[in-house]
Amino acid sequence: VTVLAVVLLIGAGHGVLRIAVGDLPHRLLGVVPTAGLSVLCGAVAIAEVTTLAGVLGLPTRLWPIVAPAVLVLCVAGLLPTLGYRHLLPARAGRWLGIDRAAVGRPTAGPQSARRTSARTADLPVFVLVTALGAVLLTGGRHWAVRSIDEWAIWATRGRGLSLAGHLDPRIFDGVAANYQHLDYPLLVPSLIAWSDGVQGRADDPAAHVLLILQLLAMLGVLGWTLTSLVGPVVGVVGVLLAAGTPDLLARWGTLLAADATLVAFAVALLGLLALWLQTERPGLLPVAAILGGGTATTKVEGLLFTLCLFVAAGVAVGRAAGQYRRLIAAGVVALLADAPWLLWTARHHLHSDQINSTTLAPDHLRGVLRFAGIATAQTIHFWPGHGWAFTATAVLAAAAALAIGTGRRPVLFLAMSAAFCTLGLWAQYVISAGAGVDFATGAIGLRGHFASSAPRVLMVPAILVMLLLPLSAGLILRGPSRRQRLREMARTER
Amino acid sequence: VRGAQRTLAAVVLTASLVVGLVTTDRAVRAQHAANATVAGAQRVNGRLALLGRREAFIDFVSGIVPPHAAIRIVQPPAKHPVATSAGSGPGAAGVCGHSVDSAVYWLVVYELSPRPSVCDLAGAWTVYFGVQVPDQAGAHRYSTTLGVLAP
Repeated sequence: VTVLAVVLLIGAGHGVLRIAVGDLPHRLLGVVPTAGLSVLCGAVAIAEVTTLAGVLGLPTRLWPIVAPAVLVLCVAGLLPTLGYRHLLPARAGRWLGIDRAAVGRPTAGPQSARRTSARTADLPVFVLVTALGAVLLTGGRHWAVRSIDEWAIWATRGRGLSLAGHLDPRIFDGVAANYQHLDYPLLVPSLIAWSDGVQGRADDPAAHVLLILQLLAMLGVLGWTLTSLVGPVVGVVGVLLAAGTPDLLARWGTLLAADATLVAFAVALLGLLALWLQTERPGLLPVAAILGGGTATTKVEGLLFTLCLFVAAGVAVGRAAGQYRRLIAAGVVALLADAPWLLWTARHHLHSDQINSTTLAPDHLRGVLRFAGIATAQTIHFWPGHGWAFTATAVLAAAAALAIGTGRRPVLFLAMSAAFCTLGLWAQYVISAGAGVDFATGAIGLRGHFASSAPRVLMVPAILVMLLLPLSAGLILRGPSRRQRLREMARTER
Repeated sequence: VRGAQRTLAAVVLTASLVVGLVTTDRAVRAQHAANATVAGAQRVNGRLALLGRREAFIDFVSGIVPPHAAIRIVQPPAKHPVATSAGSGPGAAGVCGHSVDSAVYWLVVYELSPRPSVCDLAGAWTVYFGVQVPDQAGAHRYSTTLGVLAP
């Protein structure tokens, strides 16, 4: 039954992906990215449908709304190609960078040969991620909910969606007791509810499998983007570095909580945007918009990461006006994915306990500035990378790649993304510090806040920084691209 | 210069491959160790026996309280409630997570899902978890300090 839940999720994701790219995704992107992106897009689809049903006061159980929507998406992914191109309005396609005319066009000649070669290059990443999946999913039948964040937030809300069958105000509004973090969005609870619904009962191991799959999908997508950007060696190194992030697989990856899933969506989004910046390949930006939606609807920090990644892409894109327009459209679509939930929480006065009208008041901000030093020291202390020597080398490699001018866009984008995400989280910690207390009490509170959350939320910027190393080194090793060499020759001739 | 750059890049890339291999291997081993620990842990009705001998009490409550009925959980007030306690919410100390051992409170809330936890007595089943169960009509006693009182 778990396999059925997974197959339907992938089927729905494939349907979403097909609508987004305007073609059969495996034909346009390859098998490995299609599999990975289908898992991630399927999760977003299930979360969006469940959230929409919930905020509209409709049932969140499997059969009334969610399963029919998933089945429709599965069918959409399997429709014959002929006639499919007309599903997407031409104007919307132009805005989102989908080449509608290319839909259904037979692939032949050098382009087809290049794609075949790209698919062969994806093989090492495929083998690695499959091996990791086999190892990680072994023993999955024993998984159980075992931490306070699962009991207090994520799994309890998932069970609320699947067993109560609606957004019960006593659980999701906190009207009768003080439930925790009521402002957190519903992607992970929706996946738990989906798993329960297909199983026909609450089933922790099955829900764990769906969340682990998000991580594996991210590793596949990351490996594919790095392989496409530089080559298979860099793809494999990137997957290994991300998978080896301290505590990601062994701790956060085995909980029914949102931290590992947030990493999955944010890192996959990063890969997609980096590849789009370098290749401008049609179809990538709409998929990035969906992954951005997934990032924003996983956790509150996800909204920050989505914003940071799209702004960083805007910085890296340079002066290309058409690309700006498409990037802004994709960013807006990504942020809009969280709109139903944000509107519902605003209507029910469920505010973040960290970023709200009180903590953003000028007086509060002036009061918490004194904690900036402690926040900086704590960020450094809890940074979950592979050590400071590795981080310093990554920064140096990125600086070298930028100075040499090879692959400037993806390296600049990755560096900016890491910087913005780190700065954003640092600001969130500072802003949420206690303003109206004496310094010693506020410092104790802030250190406690860091200790309980920083090793989890800093994983995203830490992975972005560590990926700078293989990407930059790989680009330097590969040397300037053909386009860059031609530009250089033209400049020399002039 | 380009040759030196490329040599350095190759060295750095190889080093990061080694770091990736070592850290991924470490992560996979740690995950297996965690799985083994969970697999070997004592269970009650499929759940980890995280509440110790009181874990079977959850099944006792589930057998009495209807699946969608509200529950009011009463626990002994903790001397040092942790930060995640529902301390600032409604309810008296010891009731609905207010100033109690919050880990135990949230575990009970989760294991009794989807029964919503409430602070108000009206219409709710009261779950006594570690405090004296009153001797009155409608009380279902599991032990002297574990029991359920019908609304």
